Order: sequence, then structure tokens, then C-alpha cells
Amino acid sequence: MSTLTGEFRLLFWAILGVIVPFGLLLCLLPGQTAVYWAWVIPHPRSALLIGAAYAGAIAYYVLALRMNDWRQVESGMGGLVLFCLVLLFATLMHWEAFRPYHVTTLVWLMFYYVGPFLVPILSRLQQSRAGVLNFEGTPDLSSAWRLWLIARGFLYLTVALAGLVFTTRLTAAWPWPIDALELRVFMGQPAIIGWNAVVVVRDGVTWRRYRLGLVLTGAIGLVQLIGLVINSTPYDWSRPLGVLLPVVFAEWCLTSLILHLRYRS
Amino acid sequence: MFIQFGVRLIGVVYLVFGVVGFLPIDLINPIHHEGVGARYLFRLIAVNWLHNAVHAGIGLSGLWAAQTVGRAQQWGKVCGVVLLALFVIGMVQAFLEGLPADQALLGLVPLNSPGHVLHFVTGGIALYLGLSRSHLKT
Repeated sequence: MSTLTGEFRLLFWAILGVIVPFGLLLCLLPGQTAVYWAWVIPHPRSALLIGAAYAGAIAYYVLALRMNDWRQVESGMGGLVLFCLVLLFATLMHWEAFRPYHVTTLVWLMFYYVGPFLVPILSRLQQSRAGVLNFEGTPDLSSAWRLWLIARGFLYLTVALAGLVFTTRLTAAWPWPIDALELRVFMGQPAIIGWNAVVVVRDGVTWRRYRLGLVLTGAIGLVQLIGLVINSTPYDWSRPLGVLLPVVFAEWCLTSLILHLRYRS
Repeated sequence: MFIQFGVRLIGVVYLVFGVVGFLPIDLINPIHHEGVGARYLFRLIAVNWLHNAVHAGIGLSGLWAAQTVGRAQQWGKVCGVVLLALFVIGMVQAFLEGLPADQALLGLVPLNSPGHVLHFVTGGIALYLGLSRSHLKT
């Protein structure tokens, strides 16, 4: 039986209860973080950059609840834990910027503590219920796509690690003025996309394992692109990352879209 | 068995927190001179030697309890209630004191909001593990 346990469904509902307001606030009111956010984000583009992860993840969790299929969710749970750890790292590096008892700070801390503790525990419970997963009758990824997912995944994992360590250098190359905290928080996004590589290497080639994860990365890429276009604050194309950033977001969308078209049947 | 696994996980994390908290290394545990003068474990959670010892005690007892399901569940109930009570007491004290960055519980144990939330999350999970009947079905 591979349906989700009640515990996992409850966790996903709780996650939606956090990411829907976080995503909507950051994407719709990026200039008013002084009112509602855990710390003041000086530049609206930085708020959009962070908000895209929450807005994009809404699609993932809604689909995960609708499909109610552990086989499609299992691979993404490591990515969720990794995302939480990256954001906890960003939090501990910049705790002085947070408003310690702001309601968003408390929810933020709760959210990122829960991931590394609860997801492994519930995964154990789920695995004991589901037993060996059966992927019979579902298509496999071709070798070329497998190689592509591994290559881009490890590239993004490297980017995320470099972004967490060499943050100051990266802020200097960014197309708008961005603080180290926002940049480190953003690094959670390449990290979860990089997680795909680990999944491909660890879990094999069954398409169904990747489908939802690619919905997530495609949705984040799409929201990022929309954010870049609709925000009217200055964007410096001459900076080293001015052109690269939209190309990267477009790649997140295109890889997801092409793979879904290729393996939809 | 996920209950034992969960208790072991919480135990390991608390033991690591307890041990690392004793390291007087500013890069990992910088001193926060304002407030109650505590160190910030992993730059985040206000601690002193007593707080570290309590963390280590929780960790060691969790690792011991995780050896059997029955003990793990008992540990989950006790630790869950204690940690959740600590969260409530800490938050009430913080509100009464005007939400300072750091506070001292009973004048002895430094606390701050990342610590409160850690108590809440781990206490909630421990209590869930303690009260869970799911192992009967698996």
C-alpha cells in the first residue's frame, strides 16, 4: 500500500498553511517586509526571490495531497530536509537580523526545525507501512535524461554550497543590491534542485519518482521568471549574473516542461 | 521501529547540542554580551553550562530509552510534557519581561526564542512518539 499516512498528509497540510501565506505575502507585497516578515528585506526583488520558493512549492504539496502516493513523494523528502538545513544555516549565520519574537520568526523557526526532525521519523513510519515500492508499468528515464539530471543536479549543489560559503563575492555580482541573508536563504532553491541528482543516483531511473519534484522546480523557475519581469525596480544586466540568472530560471522551467511532455504518457 | 528511531534522533541531536555547547569557540558558540550574557549555541540558541548539561542529559536518556519500544514511549511522554511545559513557561516569562532577546529562567537557565521553538518542536514530536499507537499496526 503506497498511500500517504495520515501523519504525512497532516504535515503537508501544515506546510501548505505556512507556504501559502509566506508565498503570497512575499510575492504580492515584496516592498512591505518591514511589517510582516521575520527580518526587513531591503530590496523587493530579494523578497520575490525568496517568495518564489514558497509560491512554487504550493503546486507540489497540492499535487502530493491529491495524488496521495508515497512512491511519488518519497524522493522529494530528502530535498525538503536539505532545504530546511540550508535555511537553518542561513538563520544561524544571520540571527542578529531577525526580529526574535515576531510571529513570522517563530513560524520560520518551527518550520525549519520540524523538517529535519519530523520528516525522517514519518518516512520511517511510511516505509514500514508501504513496504517495497512497486513501479511496474511506469516508464524509465532514458540514459541521456538521467545524465542531464545528474550533471545539472551536482552543478546546482555546488552552486548552493559556493553561495553559502562565498556569499560576499556573490552579492557583488548580483544584478540588484542583495544582502547576504537573502542570498543564503535563496541557496535553498538550487540545493533542492540539486537534490534531483542524488535521487537519480540513489533511486534509479523510474520517471514516477521525479515527476512531482520536477513540478516543484519548474514552478519555482516560472515564478522566478514572472518575478523578474513584473517587478519594476532596477535590474542591472551588466552585472556578471544579470543574464545568467534568468537563463538559470528558464532552465528550471524547461527541463521540467520537456520531461513532462516526453514522459507524460 | 519508527518510535525508537525518532527518540534516538532527538537524543542524538540533544547530545550533540549538549556537548558542542560546552566548546568555548566563538565561531560556533559566540558570547552574546547583551541580555544575560549567554553563549549562543550554533550562533542561535542561548545556553550556559547548566543548559548544556540538561541538553546532554536529555540526549543520553533518549539514547538509553531508544533501546526498547516501551522505554522509548515512556521517554516520549515524559520529555514531551517537560519540553512543552518549558516552552509555555519560557514564552510566558518572555512576554512578562517585554520580549527581550535573552532571558534567564529562574535566574539560572538562559533562553531565547530559537530555544523556545526548539523545545516546542522536539517536545511535540516526543509526545507524539510517546502517545503513538501506530507501532501496533506495523
